[in-house]
Amino acid sequence: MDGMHSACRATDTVAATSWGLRLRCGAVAGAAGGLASVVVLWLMVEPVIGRAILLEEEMHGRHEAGGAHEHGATVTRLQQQIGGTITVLVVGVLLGLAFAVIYARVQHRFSEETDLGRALSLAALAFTVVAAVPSVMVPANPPGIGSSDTVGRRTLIYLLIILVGVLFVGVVFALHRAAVDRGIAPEGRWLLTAAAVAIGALVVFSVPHVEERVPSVIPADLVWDFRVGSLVQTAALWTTMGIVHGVLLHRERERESVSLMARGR
Amino acid sequence: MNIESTPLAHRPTSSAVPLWASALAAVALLAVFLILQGNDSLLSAEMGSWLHEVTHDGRHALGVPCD
Ligand SMILES: [Zn+2]
Repeated sequence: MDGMHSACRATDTVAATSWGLRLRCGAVAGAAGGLASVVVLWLMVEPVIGRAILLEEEMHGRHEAGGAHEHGATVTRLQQQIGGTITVLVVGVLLGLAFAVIYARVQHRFSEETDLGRALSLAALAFTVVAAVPSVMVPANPPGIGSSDTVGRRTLIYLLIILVGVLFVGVVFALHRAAVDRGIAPEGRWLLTAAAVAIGALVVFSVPHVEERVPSVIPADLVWDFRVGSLVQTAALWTTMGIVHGVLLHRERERESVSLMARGR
Repeated sequence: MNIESTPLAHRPTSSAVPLWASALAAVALLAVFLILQGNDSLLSAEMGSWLHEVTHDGRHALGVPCD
């Protein structure tokens, strides 16, 4: 990482937090988000998966070590649980790296004065676009509920909602800037943003719903618990990532400006 | 959340993002996509199905569509 360090030239003093540092902040924040998410996974999600598997086994009347799936792969439940934990951690670190880069690119568009405030805003936006909004039309399901006939269509809709959401956020920010440039009053800008969000919500709700049949042995209760757990898990991931990223970056900036002053620049 | 236009004096302006950093972010997001889709296009059928199974709890927990 030190090689990258020297390769990046600072544009201005305090904003010049080097890319090596930025990425390290991102990775650490991502790992922290992943950890928080794993805690929720074990407290709220794994128990529900366990309940679902028990019910399925009762229905099939025999024990299947492979869990709810019958792909013929030799993966035990424990391996799936450990694998799931590692997956969430790895995804957290990767998202943290991407977060650091996107944050560097867009932070000046947020009005919050601290890194903590701006990072939390970006994280809240990310949670909304990649987790909360898609979950309205393509909700999370415990293993063994979705049909393999519809998984292609559900995936397509899910990805499209995320893609459109990202574009939508870009358009709203651009609209807002255009409104500022034209000298439109804050109330007018607020209305404009609210109208755009309302239109966005309409678009999301007009997305065709993929009909899903939940096996009759699975209580609605269980599906609900799983969906809530899943959303809490992604919320924990993004919130923690935002907070840790903001705090780390803030600390780095302070350290940087102190050392710059010490060097008499 | 407020979208702001007039940066305060001490607020950092947009630091130019070098190409390699954007590429790194894109690769990270692509990796997330491949992991969560359990995508086996880069792997043998055996490895692909292993990846699908071993990431299965994580995929469902994070709300990614799956069968
Ligand atoms: Zn599945």
